[in-house]
Amino acid sequence: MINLSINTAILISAAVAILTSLLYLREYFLRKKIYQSQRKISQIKLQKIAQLLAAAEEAETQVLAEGSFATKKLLAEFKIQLQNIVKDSQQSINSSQNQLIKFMERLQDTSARFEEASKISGEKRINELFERLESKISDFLIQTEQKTTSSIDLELKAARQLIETYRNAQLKLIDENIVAMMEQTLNLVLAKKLSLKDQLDLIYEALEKAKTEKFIV
Amino acid sequence: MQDLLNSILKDTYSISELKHRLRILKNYLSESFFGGQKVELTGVEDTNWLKSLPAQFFQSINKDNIYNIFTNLEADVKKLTILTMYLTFEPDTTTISQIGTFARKNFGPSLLLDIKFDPNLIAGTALVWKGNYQDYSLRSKMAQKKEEILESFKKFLR
Amino acid sequence: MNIQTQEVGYAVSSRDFLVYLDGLPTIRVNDLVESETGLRGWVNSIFEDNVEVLMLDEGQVVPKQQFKRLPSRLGIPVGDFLLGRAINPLGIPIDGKGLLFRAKTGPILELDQTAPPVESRQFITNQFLTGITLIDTLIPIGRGQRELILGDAHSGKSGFLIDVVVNQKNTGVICIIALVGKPTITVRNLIDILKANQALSYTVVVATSSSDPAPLIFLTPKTAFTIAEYFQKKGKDVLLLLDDLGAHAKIYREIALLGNKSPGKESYPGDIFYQHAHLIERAGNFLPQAGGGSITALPVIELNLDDFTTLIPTNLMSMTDGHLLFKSSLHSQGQTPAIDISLSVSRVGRQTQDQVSSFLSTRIRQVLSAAADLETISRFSSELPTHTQIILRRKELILEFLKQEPLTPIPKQIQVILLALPFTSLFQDKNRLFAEQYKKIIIDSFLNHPQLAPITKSVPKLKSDEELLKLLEKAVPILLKLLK
Repeated sequence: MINLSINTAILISAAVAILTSLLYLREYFLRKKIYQSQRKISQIKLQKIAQLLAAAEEAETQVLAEGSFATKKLLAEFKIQLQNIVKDSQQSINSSQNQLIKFMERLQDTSARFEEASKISGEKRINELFERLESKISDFLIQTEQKTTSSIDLELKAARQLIETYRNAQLKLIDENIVAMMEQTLNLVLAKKLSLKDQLDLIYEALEKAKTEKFIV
Repeated sequence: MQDLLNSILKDTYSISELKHRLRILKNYLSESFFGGQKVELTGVEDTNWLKSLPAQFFQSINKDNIYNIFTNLEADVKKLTILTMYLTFEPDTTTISQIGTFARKNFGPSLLLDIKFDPNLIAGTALVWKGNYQDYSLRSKMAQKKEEILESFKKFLR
Repeated sequence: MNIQTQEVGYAVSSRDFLVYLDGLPTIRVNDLVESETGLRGWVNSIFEDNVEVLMLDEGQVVPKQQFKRLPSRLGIPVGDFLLGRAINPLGIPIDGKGLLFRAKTGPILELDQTAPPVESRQFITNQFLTGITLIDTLIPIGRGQRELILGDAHSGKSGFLIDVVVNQKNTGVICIIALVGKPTITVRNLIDILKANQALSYTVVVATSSSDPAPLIFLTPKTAFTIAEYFQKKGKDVLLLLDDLGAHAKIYREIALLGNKSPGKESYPGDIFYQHAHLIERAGNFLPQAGGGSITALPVIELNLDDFTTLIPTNLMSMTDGHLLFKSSLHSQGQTPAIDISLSVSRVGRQTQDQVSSFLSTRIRQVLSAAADLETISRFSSELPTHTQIILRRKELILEFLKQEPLTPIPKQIQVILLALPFTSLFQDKNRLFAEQYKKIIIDSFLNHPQLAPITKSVPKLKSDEELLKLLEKAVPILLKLLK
């Protein structure tokens, strides 16, 4: 039993060893082929690169030449234009300066005239104002004077009337007092002094009057 | 009845006097008929008056009809006309009779007076007849003539 | 020299304030006489041979004292100067503010006027708003109506009257209060309360204290009516309160018994009905030819509620257009005003109420009567069906909303809204305590809240209570939010 198994194990391991060596050889040859192909490709690439570089150089020099020529032309044009512009602007500046000077002179004239005119009118107006003010104040004074005098008159009249009415009322009171006093005095006096005969006479007189007036039927 | 009253009224001029006399008459008569204590009569005047009443006066009154008579008398008294006078003094009996006679001469024989006292009437009298009051005194005369009085009074001033 | 004669009479007999005079030949009833000592009286009746005079001033009358006839009759000067003053029945001020001011002498109207006849009266169409929910919705009063106020003592009648007067501020209604024989302190308190509530400027107070002579107390209602007629003839609406006619009847009984008139039922004289009726008839609603205006009279009588079939209350009930019954038991339970709704009636008020209020009041009365029936059942059974519970709860809510504190007026639209709320879904599950707590907030929000105020304003234009309930249902969610 154990010998069988050892034999199989040895067989298996031998098989495996043979397989791995075969595989290894195959790998090696494959790698070599790949390496060679790669070298060929890189060679072709290098050739192309060189060609491109040469073409680029040619183009570069051409462009440079054209460029310098164009810049020279531009510069000349610019110079001419600048000169023109400067001349134009100078002209315009001069003309506007002249205009300005003329305008200033005119302004001065008009302002001088204006000053004088305003001075004259100002004086006139002030005079007018003063006159009007005077007249108004005088009017006002006259009016207030009149009003105060009339109101004082009214007050006086009212006060006088009040005094009159008061006086009249007082006089009336006094009159009544007089009468009352007289009545009382008479009362006292007559009660003492009238004789019986006089009293009776008065009574008869009253009775007769009542009869004539038909007070007593 | 009327005769009795008239005979009493002949010399009675004021209502208070009349009532007073009726009262003492009744007292005297009831005393004389029915006995009882002797009441003192008030004053000499009253006895004189009682004596002056005519004899036939007393004949018509007797025990039976005394109360009847007096009730009738009182009813008649209520019907009498009364003149109210306000005097400034309190008159005595003679004065009243004087005034009474005068009034009866003018206004009717059975007129009765009602004398009241009002000193505010300075002199003279105020009369009330059937509820109407009329002032005939000096006070009212002065009130009427106030202006003239004042005028003449002022002449004395200054 | 004829001076004016003057009529005089002499005192024949006297008894307390009754004096019999003779003389005075052309005297008429209601003329004034004056004694020598300045005591005045007026002629009450004329006999065959003497004149019966009732003395207005207290003093001694001596037999045979002279009485002069005065040119004036029993009357008072009337005018606008009476407003804000308190006077006695002769026109003399009693409030201590000095003499009545008269720019020109006002007309003197006699106290005894005959009541205007039928042809000068008008149908009552306007409602008299008292500002108290219970009256204005359930027992409405019209302008020109006479409504009797019955109640026992301490049932809040006088407070109710003051409320009605104070709630007439700014309505143009003139108020006249007649206090018949009340204690002086009551008069003083009334004037102070009116002044504190700025109600004095449109009020006239005619008062007699219980210590005044009986003839003067007797004249108080006549004076009050005379003043009321003066304002009515100028086209104004007048409210007249007579507090109270029971005392007036007693004083009249005293005068009649003293004058030996034969006593009738309860010792009242035979013409006691006339004395009250001819006064009450002077109130009413008048045509423009008779001056326009109206006089609304609220006579008061205090009685014993066990028996209100005595003479004076039954007389007054027959003379007036309805009555309000105040109960002191309700007052002590906290209901103010303490009016018993089932026993009170207003015979004229229905025709003056607008439609919404009348429908609403019918509904409320139905609920109240149904609840009264169901209450007896509810005492027996512990579990009630929902329908019964709803009715009972509604009745509680309604009674809670009808309660009103003194001196808190509620405008008409708010009254209607408050009483319609128990019928909405808002209060379906709320009870009385909730209503009591939130009543004030509800009133304020319906007056001021921007969403609810338009509802308040649109109430007068509604035609039926259904519309009102619909409107209120819409407002329920807003209210719920406010009441959280």
